[in-house]
Amino acid sequence: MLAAVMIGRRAIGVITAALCMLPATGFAAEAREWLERMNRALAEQSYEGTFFHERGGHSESLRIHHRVKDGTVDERLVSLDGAQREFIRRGDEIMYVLPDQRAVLIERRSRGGGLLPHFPRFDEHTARFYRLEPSERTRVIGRAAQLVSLTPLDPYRYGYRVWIDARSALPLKTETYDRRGRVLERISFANLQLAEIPDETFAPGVSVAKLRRIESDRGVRLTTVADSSAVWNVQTMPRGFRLTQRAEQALPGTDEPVSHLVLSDGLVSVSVFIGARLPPRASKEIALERQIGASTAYSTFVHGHHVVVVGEIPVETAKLIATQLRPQTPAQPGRPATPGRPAEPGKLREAFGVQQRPALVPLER
Amino acid sequence: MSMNERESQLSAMYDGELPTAERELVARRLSRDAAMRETWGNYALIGAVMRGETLASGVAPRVAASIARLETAAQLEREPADMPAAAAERTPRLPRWAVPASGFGLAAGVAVVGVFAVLWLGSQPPTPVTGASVAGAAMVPIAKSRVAEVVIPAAPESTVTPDEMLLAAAEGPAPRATSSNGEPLSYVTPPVEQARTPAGPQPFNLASYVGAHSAVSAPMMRHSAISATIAVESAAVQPEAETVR
Repeated sequence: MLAAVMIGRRAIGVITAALCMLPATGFAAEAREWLERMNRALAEQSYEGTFFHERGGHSESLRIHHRVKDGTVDERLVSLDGAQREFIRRGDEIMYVLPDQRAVLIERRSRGGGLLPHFPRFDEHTARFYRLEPSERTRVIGRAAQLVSLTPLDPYRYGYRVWIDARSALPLKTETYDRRGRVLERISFANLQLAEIPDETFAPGVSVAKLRRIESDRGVRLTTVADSSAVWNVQTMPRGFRLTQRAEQALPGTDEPVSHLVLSDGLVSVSVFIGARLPPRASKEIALERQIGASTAYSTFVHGHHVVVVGEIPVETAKLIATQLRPQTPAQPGRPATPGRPAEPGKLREAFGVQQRPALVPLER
Repeated sequence: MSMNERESQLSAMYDGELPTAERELVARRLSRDAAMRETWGNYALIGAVMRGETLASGVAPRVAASIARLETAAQLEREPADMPAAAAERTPRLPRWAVPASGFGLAAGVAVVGVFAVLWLGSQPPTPVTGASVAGAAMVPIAKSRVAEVVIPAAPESTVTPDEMLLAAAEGPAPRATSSNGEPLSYVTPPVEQARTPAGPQPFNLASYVGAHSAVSAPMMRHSAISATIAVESAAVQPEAETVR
């Protein structure tokens, strides 16, 4: 009987959601198709362009070069304003050039520890959490574009308006807004085109010889130690989010590998990093919350571990995720794992495969 | 009983849909099972957030504050999106992330350079940047745990209600020392120079995390994620953003 009550309540929610979507179904399919095309273009094509990144009252112009070649993604993002900061990704190497700090940060990740690029799909599941408006034909920077609007149906996520180039399917303009309709961030390209990009493009534009080089510990190996052998799960997900990837990563500043969980609602993704166990007094020093436009970073202390949540989500969602993290120590409780023994990622993944939990948050009244 | 059934039962109890007999059973189990109590605490918190409930004034400040903070989202929810612009101007509102319940927002609202970039550069002190002090301002102390720890009395009453559970929770550990206006008595400024001893806290650089995330961020938001890593933000407290509709 109890089950019947639960099913009954859920069913009402589903029916309500279905009714809300009904009138737009035909057009929504087209809008969805445009989203798919855009995601494919962004993931598979090489392009370069100049864009303005507006957030709050601020606007910053940046240039991006993005190349996909032989399955490797190279990327270079240059700030065209102020100190010429740069972000360069060459396969598994990330470099931050920070002339204002007179520093270069270099990080390398072993291929084994990395994650596959993530391509969320806007499927039936995702459709329950956003209202997809019929796409509209319009024009942006002199080009024919298709406007796709996504309205969030709860406070856990943001809404989007994307102007997709009718020819290349690249996003010419993207707006992120909150539930009240306030624009949090706007990315608008002044020019954007598919391009063949030569190797030399992915070198820093300023001389880095005089900058302080800060390199991540190269000696970090993936090992199992007592603490990192715990598998972390999100007990109660914010509605609509699912665990899509799980990996161990080496990050600078940590001796142990960091567990990296990726959650997604099918449109945006959230990274949850669970790092080393820290002494309690460190908790205040790592506590931090940051928002830039649509991006949120939240650093905290969970069950004695340093946790960082990063994603294009409201900070409340990031916090909710952090509070729901639970370590789940695998077999042989109490027996410390042997430090220094190499992990078997395949085995780990198999043993603690991606778990999906139903969203437990009650439906709205 | 499986975990899911237990959760369903808890959820039903929270919504007041559980028959009395079963409620007693669950209440007894709650008193014994720490994991279950934790789940219950989460329900209480999430439920309050989702309904945008204002808690009874009798609830201790610690619980109220932790819930009020998450409630902000729900509060914004109920406000009509098409609130007249004039009204919005009369009551200038800080962005919600700038107004944590614990009152740290303004302290952090000074010039911050490269908000997502270098916070700590390992053991090396950051190069001084002209203008406002940067390194200290980049850190915002935040109250630790947001989830109220629910403490159930040893012999729970059979008619225990969610509010009573929360009241019980309020008798948990003492709150952090704060002054009357909710401001903490002291701020923690991170040391500029951090010794890298295994026992001490490891320096961490947020840019690494944002960089790692950008590799898996949704294609649509990719430009946003990586722009954020090199963004130079001149003010953390920004004016009200414009409205789409």
